Amino acid sequence: MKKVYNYFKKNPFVLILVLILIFFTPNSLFSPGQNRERAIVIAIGLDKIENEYELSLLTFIPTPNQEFKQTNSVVSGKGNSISEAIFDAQLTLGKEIGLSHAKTTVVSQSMLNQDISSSLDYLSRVVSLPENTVFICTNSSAKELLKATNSLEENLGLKLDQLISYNANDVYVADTSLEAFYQGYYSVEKSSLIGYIEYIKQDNSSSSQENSEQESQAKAGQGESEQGTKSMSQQSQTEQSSGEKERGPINGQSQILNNGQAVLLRKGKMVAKLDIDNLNSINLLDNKKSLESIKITDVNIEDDKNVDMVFIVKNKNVNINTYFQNNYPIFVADVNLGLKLTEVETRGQEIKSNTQFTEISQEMALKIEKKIKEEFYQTLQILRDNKTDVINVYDLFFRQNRKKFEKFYNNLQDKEDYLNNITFMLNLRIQPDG
Amino acid sequence: MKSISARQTGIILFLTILANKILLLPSIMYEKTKADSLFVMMLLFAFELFILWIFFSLKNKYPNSSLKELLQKSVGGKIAKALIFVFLIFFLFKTMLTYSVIYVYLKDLVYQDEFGLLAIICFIPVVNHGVVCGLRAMSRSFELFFYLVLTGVVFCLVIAFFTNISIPYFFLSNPKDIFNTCFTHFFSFGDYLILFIFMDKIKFDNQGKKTILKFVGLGITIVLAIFLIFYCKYHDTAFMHNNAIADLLVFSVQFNAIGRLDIIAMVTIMALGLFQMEIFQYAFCESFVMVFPKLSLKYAIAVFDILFFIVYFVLIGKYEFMIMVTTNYLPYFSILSNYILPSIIFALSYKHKKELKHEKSV
Repeated sequence: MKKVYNYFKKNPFVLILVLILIFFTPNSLFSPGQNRERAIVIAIGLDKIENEYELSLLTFIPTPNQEFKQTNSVVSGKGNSISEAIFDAQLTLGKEIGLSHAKTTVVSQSMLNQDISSSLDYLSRVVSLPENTVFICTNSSAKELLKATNSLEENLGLKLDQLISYNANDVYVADTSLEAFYQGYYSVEKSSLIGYIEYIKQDNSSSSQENSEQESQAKAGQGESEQGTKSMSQQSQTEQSSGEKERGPINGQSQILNNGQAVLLRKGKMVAKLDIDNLNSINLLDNKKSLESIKITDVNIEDDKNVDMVFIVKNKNVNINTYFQNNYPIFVADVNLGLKLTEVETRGQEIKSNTQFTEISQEMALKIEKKIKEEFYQTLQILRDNKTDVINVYDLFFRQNRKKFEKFYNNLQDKEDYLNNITFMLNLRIQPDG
Repeated sequence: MKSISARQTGIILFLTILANKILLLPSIMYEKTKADSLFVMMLLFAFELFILWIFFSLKNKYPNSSLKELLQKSVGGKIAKALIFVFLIFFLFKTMLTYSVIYVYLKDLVYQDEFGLLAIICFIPVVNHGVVCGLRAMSRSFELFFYLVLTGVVFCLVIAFFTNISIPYFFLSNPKDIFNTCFTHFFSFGDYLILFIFMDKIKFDNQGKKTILKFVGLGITIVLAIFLIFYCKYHDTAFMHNNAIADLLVFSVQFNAIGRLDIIAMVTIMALGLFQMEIFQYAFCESFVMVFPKLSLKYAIAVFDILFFIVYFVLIGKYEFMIMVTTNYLPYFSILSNYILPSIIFALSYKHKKELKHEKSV
């Protein structure tokens, strides 16, 4: 005993360690698991019904099973503010919510009729919703989308953030994350672009009708071409056999459609919806994005036989310059496109020439150029009309001609309308690749 | 007397340079001076290097003297104690600030809730133990973990290059803003003052001076790199990210899929936090023993713990208040402790040139 006493006297910090162990070990051993007190939220949905917010939480419920299957469920709460809705959801769950693992945040389109940042503020600032969460919009109810996502994940193992990650990498100009939204929101441009996922809830009669239509299309071999570049994830909300899944939509099915669309926001409010062509036009100015496909029609390749052709951009070199001419800002984009012919739609005609090694003729080049320019200027007009600068024109001018641009910008009557006062020039050089 | 080498001194300086600058500071600085905060940092580091130069010249003149001896010779015992008391207060608040910044980080990313008491129980005994073991044992531990900490910090920096980054806009702030921000954040600096506290325990020659400068250079480069990359990554949202080095690692969709990558930042920050608190508490305790020579280091530790509890929990309570105190009131105090006091010590050292010659001949 004396030895122990002397040891602790010599090493008082060992005593502190022992005391900590004595006090905290029983407490740790007998305290319930944290999942009993805290619900792990993996996705959040925000809806606004009249003046009330509805917050839906896709929560992960850790349960012991032998199938390595994750059990999720959607719980929602309502309130006059987001904090009230969270409180209501917590009451429903009987647990406190933890948002650190929330990888997706979905807002309904109706939420974007007002500045969304005020609704997100509480989530990101107080309850620690991570800013790297995927941030998307849906046409209908975010709650319904989360429910459909839940069954999508159960049956296919596909998560919503994985579904959108392709768009984030290859379709959108920036990540479709909360961080990317805020970066646009707090910038001088006040413009952001977020992903858009369409959710279609089908009733029995219409779905069966569409089902039969699609089956007949598939038989005619036109199913894929009708869909174009759209990718579609279909999911049943009820349990189905695998055979049914393969056939496509059936009775009671809902669809999650990822058309590569995006929503254009200005000061946190939705101002326009951009389709894949608009996004491709924006991506034209980005060296890193080169997955666009270009379709031209009525190309003559053999004795008055006209076909449609689809090219893909194999490589791209973009050089953007900004300068001032007579104090007016000029934006010039020189784009070199290396194209590869990927598809020839013969319209049922018999074409005997080898299209595999087709050179890009002057006619083709002109048609491609016309199409690209038309789409680019259309998209530019959308951006100009909505005073949204998601192609970072302000940034480019500010970096390349800071003094002149500041002078020009400060002299504008409507500073937000600077895009309309800039001349855009798109120079295309089209050449075959591969 | 147990002394420490130039390399160990360099590592201690490296750790203190990183204190309070790599988590919250880039974010709160951005509010006023945007990306020009980088120039604010350069300016503040320039002041710091001036203090380091003062220390080197003092050490050159008085290689074996302690701060207390130096001051006693010049201004007498009571005034010397009063001057050292300023350091004592400085290091008490410095430890609290370091603790607060790490607490905010852990609260945000790990615990989600307030865990004040638990944090104190986990941190304080470890820090106290380091101080009891003494400067040499502490320095050896830092030497052992130095490359681990350095790797962690560099990893966080490097990973940011794989996300979308672009150079932020510079020269948006006017000189007034820059100098105001400099003043506001004086308290986050003054790290080289620890050298004055245990100047008699540091042994180095000219080569050793170079070694120390290498570590100082490395520390400054890393801090500036964190600021630059943080602003390159976040631009206008920099003010929303309170944990700069950790946020460089985690906030990107690309790395969302790679599980808990932030654990690397967590381990690095925890290690850094503990080491920095140990150094600052040690500096407090040494100052305490110099002011109250009849009391031992253990008393100093006990006093520190009690003061820490009282000041932090009773008077300050919330870390937000702590940050407010350090940016609103303590900058005035920091001018005295960080710049005026070392300059006074330097000036006084000239007063005793003759004594110095005598000491050297002895």
